[in-house]
Amino acid sequence: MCATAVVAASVVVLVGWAIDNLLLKRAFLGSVMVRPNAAVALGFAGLSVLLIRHRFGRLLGIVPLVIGALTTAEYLYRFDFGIDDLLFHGDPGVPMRMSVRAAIASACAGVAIVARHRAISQFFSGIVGFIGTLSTVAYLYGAEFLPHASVTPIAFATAILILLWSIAFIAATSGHGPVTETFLREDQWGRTTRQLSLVALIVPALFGALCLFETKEELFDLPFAVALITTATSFTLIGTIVRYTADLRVEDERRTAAEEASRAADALYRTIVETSQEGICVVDASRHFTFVNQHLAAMLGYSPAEMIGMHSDEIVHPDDRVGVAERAAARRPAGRTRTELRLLRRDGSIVHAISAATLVPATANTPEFVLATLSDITDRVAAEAALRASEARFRSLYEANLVGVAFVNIDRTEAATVTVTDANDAFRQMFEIEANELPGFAWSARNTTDGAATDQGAMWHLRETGRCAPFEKDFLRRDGSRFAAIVAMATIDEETTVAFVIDVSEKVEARRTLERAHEILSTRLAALEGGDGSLDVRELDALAARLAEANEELETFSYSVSHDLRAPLRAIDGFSRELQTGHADALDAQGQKYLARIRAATQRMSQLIDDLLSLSRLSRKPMNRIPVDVTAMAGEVANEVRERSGSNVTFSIEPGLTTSADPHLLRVVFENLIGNAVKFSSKRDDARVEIFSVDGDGTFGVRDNGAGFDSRYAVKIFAPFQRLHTTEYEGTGIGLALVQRIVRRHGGMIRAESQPGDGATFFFTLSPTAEVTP
Amino acid sequence: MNRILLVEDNEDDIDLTLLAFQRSRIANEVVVARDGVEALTYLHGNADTPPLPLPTVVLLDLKLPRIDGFEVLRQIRAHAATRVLPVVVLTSSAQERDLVQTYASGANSYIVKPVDFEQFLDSAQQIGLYWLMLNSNPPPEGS
Repeated sequence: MCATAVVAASVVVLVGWAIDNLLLKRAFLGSVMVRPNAAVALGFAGLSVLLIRHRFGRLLGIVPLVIGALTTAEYLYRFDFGIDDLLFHGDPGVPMRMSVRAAIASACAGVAIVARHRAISQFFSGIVGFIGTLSTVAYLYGAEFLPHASVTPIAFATAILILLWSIAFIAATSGHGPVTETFLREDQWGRTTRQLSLVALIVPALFGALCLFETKEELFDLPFAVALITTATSFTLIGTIVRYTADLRVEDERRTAAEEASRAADALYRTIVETSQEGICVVDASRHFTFVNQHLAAMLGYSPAEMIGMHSDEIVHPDDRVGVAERAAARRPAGRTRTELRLLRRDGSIVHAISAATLVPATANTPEFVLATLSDITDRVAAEAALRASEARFRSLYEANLVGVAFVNIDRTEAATVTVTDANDAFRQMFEIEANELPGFAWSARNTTDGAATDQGAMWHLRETGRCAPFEKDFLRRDGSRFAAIVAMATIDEETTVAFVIDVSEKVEARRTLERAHEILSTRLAALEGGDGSLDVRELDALAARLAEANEELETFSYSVSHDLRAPLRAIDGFSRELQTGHADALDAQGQKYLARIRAATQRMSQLIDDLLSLSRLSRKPMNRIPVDVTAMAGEVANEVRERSGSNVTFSIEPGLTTSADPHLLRVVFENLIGNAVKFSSKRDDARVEIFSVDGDGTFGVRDNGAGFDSRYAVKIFAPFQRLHTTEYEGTGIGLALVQRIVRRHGGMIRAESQPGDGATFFFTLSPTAEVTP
Repeated sequence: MNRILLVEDNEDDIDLTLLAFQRSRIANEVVVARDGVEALTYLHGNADTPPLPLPTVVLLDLKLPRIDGFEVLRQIRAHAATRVLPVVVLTSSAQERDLVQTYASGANSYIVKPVDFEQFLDSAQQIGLYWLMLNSNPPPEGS
């Protein structure tokens, strides 16, 4: 609007000059005319401000620049370019040259418009403003211009137009220069600048006007007025400056304090991060470390400086890297992840860690990064692994079912009820209970009459020491039968006690048998010796020595029997044969027959000696019981016997028969029983021998359909050298005695059933384990 | 002619053995020693007697007066001159104990004297066949 006013006023003035109207030439103001060149310069300057957005507008600034510069040069060099009355010719005596100030202002305005540099532009427009203001204020103060031949006074209108133009230019280029920028700021600095400028502008002007007025009224003279203006202005400015300085100081102190606080907070955060017992790090978008705290570096065996720039994968176990990358991708929307992973130390060892990572989005000053906290949980992982291993060990103990294991709850009252909450298979089998009876099975319900008392004794130990040493106790099975067990218990916690139970009924049974045998032995010895029945060690030793001596004598006896009884027999047989062959003609037929009888008797005697020896050897030979395939053994023996006898007997052997026996001895049993069966059935055409088991209780039978014998003699046949068939069937009568001895050594029994002519059956059993010395 | 040294105290057994050899057509000279001392004197000699020429085979009974068969066998094996001399143990005993001890002491063979003379003849024939005809003795030491 100011620019428009400037252009309009310039046009009015030029019209005034064209129609020679003094009022228009003065632009209705003051007594001095606006010179045509000044009007042209200001007009173009105003026009260029209106068109400042266009390149063309700037070029218009050349006009005031040229006019102002040429006019100023005319003043300086007292020279006339002839530009002053180029447009109009004034009246004689009236100078047409524009005023000095207008010329300078015009030139400066031109520079301000044309100049590219904003600071220069602003500087020159400032000069224009200064000239405009000075001239306007001077007119307002009523300054009078002394008439001068060559110098034109500035017109009032020109002064105002110059001021208006400078305002218009600054407004049009607002914020485009350092001064205006400072002026127009919206913040405190802008406000302060504007306020101070207003004071600087108004205060001197007011005091100036006041002094002028006082001087004109002649209240005091000029020097005093100048002193008054100076002093009043100085005091007012000082006051204002002090006030704003104080504001500045307060503001500065506030900011300093804020910075101090911020620095302290930074230091605190830094200390927290550096001294944290967690590993803390910052990773950039390419996953390289940009910050690592002391704890993390120490955890991995580096210094913090060494880790800066390392790729985060370098500290992650290869197997976990993929996971890390995947999580980094997944982190994007959610922003946070929490994972367990393995880290690698510099020396290659492994650290188990929990990583909590947060994605921090990019800001104006910082790019996106990830802040991660890493906690070392190696100890915890190791502890967990140890716990698992320990649990597995105890579980295998529990599930191995070598001993019964039960977790029991003990009622601490007098009743001392023991309730089983859980138990392994071995325990359940022992007590014959199903899994669904647990928890809640009351073991006290299986106590024998004195079981409760035993339990209470055990409870006392548990209360006192937390455990009770193994003790023996009888329990009842489901059917009411007893079994002996060894029980040991230990308290785990308030509620639970663990009990170990081993079924020892077999051992206890064996021990009781032994005790009974000892009792019988003691009684018998007592009866023998008339003593009190007690045996001391010395007597036992003497007994054992006597037994060894007797065995020794027996050994010597049988040895000499085998040598010395045979030698004469050999002589009898040898010389008899010599008689038969070498001296045959000296004997008649009857003599020959007698010699044959002598030789047969000799052979028989020799056989008897052999059998007697084998019978005595059997008692001394140690026994070795192992599982035996009875069917296979009976089959082999049967084949051998059939071949030897040449009989066409039919064998029927039950398949799948097994037992536990000394295989050599059991073979002797079958050799004799099968041999007898074949022998005594050899006279039948449909001879048949069966080997079978009875009821699967370990009893075996050997049956033939041969001659048989009278049951009245069934017991006698097992005595040595006892024969029921004297001449029909050969044999020494030692075989069944041998068989009985072997069966008895195996803790078994043998019996025979028969009717004459109806075949015979021999039944024998072998006890499962016990070995009995005959 | 190869000699046989028979170490045996029982006159019946001596006669039967000689008879058996005779029946088996074994014509070797048989020298009889009637106890262990006599056998060892024959083989190794003593202060008065030098050792006689070694037999091809020694038939040794175990039950002997003075020094028994085991000791004779031990000394035969201990002596350099007779270390490799074939020794066949002839005995009435079929006891395992004797058998094991005999072989452990270094006997070359062990034969149980059967009561049946027919079997005894078989044994005698086999001794002759094996030890006197087939088996070639190692040369005496030093030769």
